[in-house]
Amino acid sequence: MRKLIATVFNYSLDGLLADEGTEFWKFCFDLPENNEPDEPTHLDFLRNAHAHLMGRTAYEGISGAMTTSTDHPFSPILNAARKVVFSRTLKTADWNNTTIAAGDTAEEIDKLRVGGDGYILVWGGVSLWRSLMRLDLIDELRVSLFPYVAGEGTRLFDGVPKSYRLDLVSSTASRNGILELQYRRHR
Amino acid sequence: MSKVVALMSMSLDGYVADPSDGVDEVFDWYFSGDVEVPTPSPATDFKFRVSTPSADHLRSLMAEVGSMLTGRRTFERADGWGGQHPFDVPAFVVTHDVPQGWPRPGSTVEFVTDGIEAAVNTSESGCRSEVRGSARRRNDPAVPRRRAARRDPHRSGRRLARRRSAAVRPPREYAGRPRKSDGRRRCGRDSSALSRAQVVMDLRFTVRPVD
Repeated sequence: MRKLIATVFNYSLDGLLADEGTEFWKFCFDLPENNEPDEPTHLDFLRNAHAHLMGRTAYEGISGAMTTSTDHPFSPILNAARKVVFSRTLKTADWNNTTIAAGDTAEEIDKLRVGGDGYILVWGGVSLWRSLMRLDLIDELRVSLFPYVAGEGTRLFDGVPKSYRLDLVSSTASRNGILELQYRRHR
Repeated sequence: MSKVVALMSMSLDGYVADPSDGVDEVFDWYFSGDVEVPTPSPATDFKFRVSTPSADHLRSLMAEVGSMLTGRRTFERADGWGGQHPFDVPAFVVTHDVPQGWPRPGSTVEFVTDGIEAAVNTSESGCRSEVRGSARRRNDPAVPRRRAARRDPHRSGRRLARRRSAAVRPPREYAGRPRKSDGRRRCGRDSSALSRAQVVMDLRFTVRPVD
């Protein structure tokens, strides 16, 4: 069965995700390795995913960015890759190779993860991550922890199960101190 | 001048205590390992029991600290450390009112009632006298020799380059499995701390003024 990996980026030391227009958001994208993420192992990690899952808001943001900023290192990978947007309101999804999952979340995930190995990336947003954590369907969290206390933003771990135990798999810091944390759900 | 280091054990979602000030989950790493780390205070036989990497971390930390500055609630939670902080350094408690029965004779726990800035200044003075005190006591056979060795200027200089320390761990007794990194460049002087990733990760950040 395929693993579900949540990729959480722009995460502050005080547990907040960067909201657009904030100082923290600006800090995140002023770091060159975040603004122009061209690490080959990371690009391979994206390229080798079986599918890319997004909630509607994340889908609109990411599809807009990837189809306009075509020189972004993620753009050719994501434009070609298989995408699934989780939404009960969206009627059409124009981004290339995108399908809409409008049914029961757990059933939709099962359809995607059975029948093979490898992994599926969950890009967010927070509503989708939280739903999947509540259903205990996330197998791995990849968190990009920025050296910053934001004080404002969106709390990632609101409305999620208490005592959600994780195993730390690896940790790597970028040259400007972004800490890439890899956690596996303890089962 | 001494550096002010904020030290905390924190969960991945940013909690340092539960709603009733309980710290069992985030402090568990201090007492769940195989390696005994005695504290330097001759007044107590208090020991940590941690993993090997955490033992290195704690020994470095205890050698680096010149004084402790805490709030009143921490003082209360710790029962005033029995009058002697186990790190064998003076402890300064910021409070509006000196608690009844304190300061105690012979105790190195003191109270600062005129605000946080005064408390920082006072604990820095205390810190300096403590460093002098340790230098004096180096020849005292009652003080373990290893303490003097841990004040090796080269080692502590390297450590003092980091100002802010935060131990970040996932929420409950997480047994970590360290693995080799994917080869991405690590932050120079923090690489040793990062490779320690097990149950608890020791993260040290230098506080920078906002540009």
